[in-house]
Amino acid sequence: MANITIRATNFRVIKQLDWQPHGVCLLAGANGAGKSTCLDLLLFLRTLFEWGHESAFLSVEGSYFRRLGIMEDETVNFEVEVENIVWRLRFPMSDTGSKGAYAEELMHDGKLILRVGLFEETWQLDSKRLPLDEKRCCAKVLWDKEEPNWMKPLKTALSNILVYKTFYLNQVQRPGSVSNLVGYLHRNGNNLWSVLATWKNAPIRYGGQFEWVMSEARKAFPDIMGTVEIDRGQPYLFPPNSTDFADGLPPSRAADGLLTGLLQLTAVAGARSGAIIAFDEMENQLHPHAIRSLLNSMRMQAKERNLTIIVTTHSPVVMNTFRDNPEQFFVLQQNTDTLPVPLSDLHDEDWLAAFSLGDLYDRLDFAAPDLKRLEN
Amino acid sequence: MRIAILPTGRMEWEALPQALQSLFPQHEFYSLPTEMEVKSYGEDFPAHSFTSCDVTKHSGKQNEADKLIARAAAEAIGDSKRDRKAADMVIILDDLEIANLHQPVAVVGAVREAAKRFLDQLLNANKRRDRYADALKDKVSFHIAKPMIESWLFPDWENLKNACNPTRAAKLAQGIDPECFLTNDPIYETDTGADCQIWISSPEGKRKNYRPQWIKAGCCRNIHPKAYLSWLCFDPQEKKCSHYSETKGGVVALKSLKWAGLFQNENHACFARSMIQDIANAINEDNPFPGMTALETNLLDVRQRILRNL
Repeated sequence: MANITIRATNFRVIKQLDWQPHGVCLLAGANGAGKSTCLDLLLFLRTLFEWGHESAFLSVEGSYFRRLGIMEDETVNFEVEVENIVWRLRFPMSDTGSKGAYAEELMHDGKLILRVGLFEETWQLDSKRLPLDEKRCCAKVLWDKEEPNWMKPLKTALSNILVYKTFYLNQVQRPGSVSNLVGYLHRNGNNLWSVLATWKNAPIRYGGQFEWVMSEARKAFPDIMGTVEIDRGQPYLFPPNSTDFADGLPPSRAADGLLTGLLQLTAVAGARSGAIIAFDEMENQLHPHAIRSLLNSMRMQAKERNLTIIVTTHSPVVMNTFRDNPEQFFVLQQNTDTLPVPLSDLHDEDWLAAFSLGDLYDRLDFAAPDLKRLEN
Repeated sequence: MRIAILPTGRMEWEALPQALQSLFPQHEFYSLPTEMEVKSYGEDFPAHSFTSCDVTKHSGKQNEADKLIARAAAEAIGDSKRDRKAADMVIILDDLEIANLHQPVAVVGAVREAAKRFLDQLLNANKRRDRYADALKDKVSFHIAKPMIESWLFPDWENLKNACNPTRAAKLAQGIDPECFLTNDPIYETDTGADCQIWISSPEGKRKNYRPQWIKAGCCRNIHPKAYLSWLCFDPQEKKCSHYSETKGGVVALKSLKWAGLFQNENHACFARSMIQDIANAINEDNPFPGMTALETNLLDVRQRILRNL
């Protein structure tokens, strides 16, 4: 997939965002700096394109959409740029919700392809005026109607965004019946066992994804992970070298960290080539070895299949793994106009090389809360 | 010139820059982490010592010396993007401590190993490695307070007075080198702490934590300057039976250290003199106290050096 650039202004805590994530990248910031908001932005854009604005607002709990304290007439603005395509959106919002129809523009090679202004009821495609679709955005209407070849990079980029903010571990631990008909992990992870069962039953179709998940999980959890079997619709996790079915544990007895690791690996394995996958606070429940191992697995997949994998974190262990890639370590830094800032722009790279990045974060060298407020 | 001191004791962190400034008033001395860092970051400081146990136990493994080297190296190259100017010289100072009194060579070896490890991890970035290798060799030194910083105070009674106004007279072995500290005080050497009223009456569980320094030093007390200074400043009303405090009186005494007393014998205080010699060389001035330096921290063969002085 071509590089994607995402821009936003006035979205929740984000005053101005200009971001080109690539490879495995990390997003760090103080609590409330906007890490999860960045993931919400990705989710919103994907859902808007795929399912329309109502679903998009629902996907990010649409209230408090605009940044507090901005002028009443200021809009919330988004822009997605892929290759020579630019998709612009402007949302007229009050503090509690939408004030009316949003504006949209699609440009290709600098030429305006479609346009709809704020509060308008029709949109313009080339020289034609068309009524707005009730559900879909205009770019999606154009895609569904004509599937223009030039638009494919934008469509592919948006459709392949996967955001995993919170896994519903309680549902993973107590699954209903497992089916064999699901190829992709839901964003709350509750269909994990169905996805794994489907992949296991059709290894040729799914390109060995099940085996990859198992082998990487064994590396991350060497003392507890052997394999997963689905017996009569119920999953069982087996320890290494197990030959006795009685060794199998139901998910409710499995370690939370192991389930989290399986969920992350399944999400990565199931993503299409070129996809953007985001994990919020990926370190939750995980031992440092598991964190490092999972990130290593993600890096391999990102390289092989041109994935962009974004992790937000407060974990020094996660940060330390970015020592050789400070340009992929993005910081939501206080008092900076445009976010996020690559760590390599904040500090001299040679100077950074003397430290563990986690130590620098720990001692508040970057991504720190504004401690001056304590003095007031 | 700007000279950074990276000490492992709070007393040195607070006082040594001022003490050195008095010798070289044209130059700026400051401690690491900087006061600004400590203020706004609440950083865990000062840096941790790597000599509190036998250093040969760390051999071949990462330890606190690695962190000292990394911090010093970073200070020596600066961070151009955050307005952190590179220091012209960085001095790491650690106590030799009783545990390593017999092996300053091993302590120096541990620092050389740490510096080598630091450069080895940059092997895949040759330009950066070269930059750091040059910075370490040109700007970073490692020096030793032998056996610990309090030994510098004993040559001049004024220092001890500033530290805690002792209630007892110091009795050291005749003509002793302060860096080969040795008491000649039978009362001190046999004191069981029986007169330490508060300590004796403290609950059983807490008594171990509050042991007076000289009790804690055990059989090594006669070569332990900090323990002796605590005993000289005996105060039965204090929990630890002494009113000597490194971070109070110790700081006052070190800030106004009588350097001439420490270096009055040109064959004594060789480790401390190595440091003064090193600074004088760096700033291209005469050593105000010429004399014998410690070979361990003044490696003469420049080709062998990995730091300025090792």
